[in-house]
Amino acid sequence: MIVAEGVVKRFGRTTALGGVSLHVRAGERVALLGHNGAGKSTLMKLLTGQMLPGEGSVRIAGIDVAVSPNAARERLGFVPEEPAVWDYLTAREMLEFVVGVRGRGDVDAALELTGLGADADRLVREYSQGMRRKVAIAAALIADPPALIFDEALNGLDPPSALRVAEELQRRAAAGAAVLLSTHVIDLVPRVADRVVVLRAGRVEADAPVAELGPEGLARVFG
Amino acid sequence: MIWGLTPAIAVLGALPLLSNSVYSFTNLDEVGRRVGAVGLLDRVGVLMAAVLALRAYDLVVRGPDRGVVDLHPVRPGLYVAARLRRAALGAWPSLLAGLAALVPLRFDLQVLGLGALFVGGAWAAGLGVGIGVNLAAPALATRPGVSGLLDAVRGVNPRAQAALIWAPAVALAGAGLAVMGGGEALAVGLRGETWGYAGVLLPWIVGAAGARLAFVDGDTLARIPAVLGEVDASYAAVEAAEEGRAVYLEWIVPWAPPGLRAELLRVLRAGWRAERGWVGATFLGALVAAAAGWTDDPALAPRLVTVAGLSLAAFGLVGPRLRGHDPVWLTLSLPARGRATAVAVAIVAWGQVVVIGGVAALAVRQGVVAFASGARLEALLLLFAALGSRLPAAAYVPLALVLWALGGWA
Repeated sequence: MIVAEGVVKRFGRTTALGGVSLHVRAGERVALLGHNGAGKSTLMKLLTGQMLPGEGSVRIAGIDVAVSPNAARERLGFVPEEPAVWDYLTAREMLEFVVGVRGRGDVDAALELTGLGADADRLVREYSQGMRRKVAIAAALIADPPALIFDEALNGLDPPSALRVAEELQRRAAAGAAVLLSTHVIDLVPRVADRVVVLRAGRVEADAPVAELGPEGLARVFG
Repeated sequence: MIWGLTPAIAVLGALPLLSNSVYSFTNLDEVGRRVGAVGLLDRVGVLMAAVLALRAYDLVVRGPDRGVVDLHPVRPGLYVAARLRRAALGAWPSLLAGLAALVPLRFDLQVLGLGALFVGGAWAAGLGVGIGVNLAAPALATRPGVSGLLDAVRGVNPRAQAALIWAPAVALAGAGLAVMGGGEALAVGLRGETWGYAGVLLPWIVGAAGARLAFVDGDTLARIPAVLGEVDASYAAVEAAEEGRAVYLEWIVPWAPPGLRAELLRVLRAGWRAERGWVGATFLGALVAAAAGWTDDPALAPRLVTVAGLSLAAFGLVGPRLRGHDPVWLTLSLPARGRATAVAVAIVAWGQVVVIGGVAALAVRQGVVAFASGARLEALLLLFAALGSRLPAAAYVPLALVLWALGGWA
């Protein structure tokens, strides 16, 4: 569902990704780990059509992102590391905009899911960083896309909210969605992922089921 | 909303000060007034189209809402209509300011009406062509006629990137030519050839045709972030390599008082790296000033101060722009002493190229008389630097316009 095939990306003389292949199947939750500079952000930008691969291809739900970026966007819900929200709309208005462009979605359900119901009619500019992130998460989930990519998206959420979002991602995966989530928080991985992929220096260093690795194995492959 | 009226109020405030220079034609006979009015309309129209064509790039390609919009699918018709509406709403203060500049034409209501229609058309041409060309650039890059041309100018950039890089220049040229053509036709109309009045419609027609270009398919619109991402990544790589090198005018730092050196170095580097387009525009200002100063006619010598002074007034905005890059923590955690002075010193240093360019040209043609204009320009530059280093843009712009008008009038 979320596929990177032999992706190479160079910036001048620097090779950010040196032939990365990543497959997230329908119903699967994958955590993408990597230290700063490992290539996570570059890979996220390629997967979400914010940048083009130098070699290789990227597909969302079978659609080549470079060839048909708009169709790929239809099938992707993406939460960037910095939540992108409109300060001068309320959370409800912002989600109504998303429903408008995506053609489907339940605003009240998304607000309920992210715990924003009581603050839904306040301007987003009055929100805390965590609440802004919740709006971005609600916008990514609202139209129920088959592919979900969360870039460090649980950072800054209070623990109950992070848990609720993690449970929602599990429920979506069980219903057939593919979930890719990058994080630095290794303790979070068992709650949000079935499989872990570790990037180091622009290459996939490890790719293994979380259950097989266990806490020590996770610490070892990430360490 | 109220701040949107500021440019128009500033223009209205400057009008009496410009009555003996820019608007001196209003004291002539009817024929002279009509000739002068056409000249004024040409200048206001071209300026309006140029500002709007360049502003369109900021509004639709680099707009602050891209972060939200780019995460979701594009419905082409709705998307483009929303972009056009938003751009028009954001640009209405420019239209009001342009119309305010026509108030002295009230001696002839026919000329005033045609002028308002013409300046409105310049506004529409700048926005329409600017938005259309910028949004359609990645699609236009693949057309056979365009791709061959792009191959000749794109260097190492892929075609789509080259198209986006060149789009503002193409928009500028397209809108500018439409306005100039319309102005020529309007002049013919005012000389008595009725068909010439139709020329007033030319900028409107070109603007509408330009806007029509923007209605491309969703994939083209959705591809823009990737193209921009590649452009930004290329610049980031170049800038990273440049980090260790000295920037333009950094050599002046050791000559500054010891207490100012660190702040001046920071301002010069921030200016060159974060506001390079703005600082680099001084070179264009120098060329324009040199063109204004290149005259043997003593009666035309004052136009150097008018033209170069306007460049310097616009350049003083680099101060508010630079302060916008300062993180809050910097202001809170480090003493602010010397920061505004450093910005002012940097503005004066960067602005010298405009003064020198204009004065040198005038000195070649008219000799030492040029240095009087140079002294007046230096005085204006010092004032713009002092104001620009301390005031927000909304307060700076009207004050700088009035100062410029006073400088030209005095």
